[in-house]
Amino acid sequence: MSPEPRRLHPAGAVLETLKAVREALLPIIVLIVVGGGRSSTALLAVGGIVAAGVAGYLRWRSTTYRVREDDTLILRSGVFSPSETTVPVSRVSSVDTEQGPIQRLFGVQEVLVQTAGGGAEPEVVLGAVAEPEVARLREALGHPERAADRDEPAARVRLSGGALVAAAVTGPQLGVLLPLVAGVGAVADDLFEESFDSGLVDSLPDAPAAIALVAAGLIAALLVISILGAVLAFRGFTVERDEERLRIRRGLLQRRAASLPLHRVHAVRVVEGLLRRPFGLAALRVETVGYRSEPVSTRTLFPLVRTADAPALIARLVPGLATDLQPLEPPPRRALRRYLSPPLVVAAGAGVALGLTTGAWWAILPLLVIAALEGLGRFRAAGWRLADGRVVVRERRLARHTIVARAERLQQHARSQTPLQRRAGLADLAVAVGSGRRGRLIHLEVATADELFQRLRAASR
Amino acid sequence: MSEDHVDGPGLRPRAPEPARTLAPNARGYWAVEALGWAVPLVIVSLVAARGLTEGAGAPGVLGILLPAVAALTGLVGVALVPRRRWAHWRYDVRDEEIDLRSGAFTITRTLIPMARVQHVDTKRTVVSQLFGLAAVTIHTAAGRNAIPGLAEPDAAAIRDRIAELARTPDEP
Repeated sequence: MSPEPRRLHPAGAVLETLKAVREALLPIIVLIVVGGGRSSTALLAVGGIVAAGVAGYLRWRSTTYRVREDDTLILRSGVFSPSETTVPVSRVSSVDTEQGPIQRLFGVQEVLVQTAGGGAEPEVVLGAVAEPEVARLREALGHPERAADRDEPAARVRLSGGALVAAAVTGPQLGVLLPLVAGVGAVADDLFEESFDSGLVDSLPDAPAAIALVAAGLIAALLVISILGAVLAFRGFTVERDEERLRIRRGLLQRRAASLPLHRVHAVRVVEGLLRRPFGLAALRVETVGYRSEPVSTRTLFPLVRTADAPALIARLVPGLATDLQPLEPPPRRALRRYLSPPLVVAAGAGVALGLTTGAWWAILPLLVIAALEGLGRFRAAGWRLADGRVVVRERRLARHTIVARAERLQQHARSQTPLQRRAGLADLAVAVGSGRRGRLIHLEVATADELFQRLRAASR
Repeated sequence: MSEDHVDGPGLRPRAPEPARTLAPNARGYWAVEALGWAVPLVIVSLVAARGLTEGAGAPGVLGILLPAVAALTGLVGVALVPRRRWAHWRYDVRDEEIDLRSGAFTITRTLIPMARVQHVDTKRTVVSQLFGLAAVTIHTAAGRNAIPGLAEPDAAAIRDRIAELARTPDEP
């Protein structure tokens, strides 16, 4: 690619203008509200938008990038205080592209360049680059769209329409709603009680029903929004793998394309959410080291898979982690009561507190039942497997998580014992993968924990 | 070592338990450090107890119970925990791994492969310098581990040794 400094596609000026407008929106609204619709304030608002346009144009004009002959990416930007970012091509760890609605309108893409060991934010963000230039830039940065010597990827998996709907409906996004539901319930409760106390119940006979209706409507709306959100994020989800990297494309309005060097994938996690477990469904996540830390959806290797098919899919997409997820070695039966007691104690405490404060003593029984089920679930979920240098650790924390990692690439492992476990001859074992995520096995036989500790030690040398 | 050789229980030599202890005056240092939260805790509990019993009219027994619990917590933190921590702490830096054992009550043994160490540094605080102590912090991609309560020259030597051993990692 030419070493002369290049400007972004003119669409960049539009994007910068919109950004400036967004930044100026609050002051403009305040002006209009305070000014009360006088013509002078309207003029001011128009002036603000014009100024934003000028600022956007100037920002676009002053932003240039180039890849120098010595393989360095240089980005200059800033109108009044120009800054220069220099990134050696050898340090570029990923070149991702995104395409929002505006970019799509102009047929351009946003290019995000991330370096190894960089922070959460990409080092270089180019807001608008035309398609042919994206290909040239990728080439110059050593991250071509496809390996030069082959056109077909080694593996390609696409999310079907039915699976997309299933993923959206059972998605973890629903979990976000729970506190909201509780909050709405509390408010409704307050209003209900108040209307009784003040005798308002006569004047507002339909109030509780109306409130319930509003609450139900609100919940339904949030549900629809969260499902739509998942559809927007995962529509067209496609994973491709060639020899060195994974390429993940997804999104309906905001199209994203991320490429992920396979050697950065330190582990894969099979997540069976509460709503997915009953249907034998799970999501696959990647645990990467030194990659952009981003919302959950970007760390998704595949949004929905039958749990039974997960090992085959992992083998296709991350061959280095191919292994069976069954059978797992469970903790000993005698550990069951130790799995049960922590949730039971918490539930009993919560029940007593609830009883003392609200007098709702009846709640203690359902709480205990839920806690017992959770404890039993944790016991039945717990298990491990170490074969062919792959370590598998499964545990349950509401959702069931199965971590698959190469034993030799674990960051550390630890065995621990509380005084109570020492008396009972039990011990915990924890492993940590490159992303910082830990897998914990609690209440194993001491001999088992020790054996696993030694085998992991041998594998890591 | 090849993966093929790691299976088959009973055939591998057990990892030797880590053997090196921390500086003896680490106990005193931790006790002084614990005073930093224990004393304020007791003072706050006394004030709160007074406020509750005289101001808010809570039962008088609370005025004794609250400071008593605070004092007991402080006593455990100052007198018992540093001694138990010191008694349990062991470490070893071998060519291929760092071996740590720590904990006051729950005892944890942690193994960090040398190839995973990203960088290592020593840290001293105002208080630790009074005791001539420093901590070595070992950073990996998954987080950090520390060996606290080392004599300053020891800490520097351990830091340099780990840095030397970890200098040629085989992969990120």
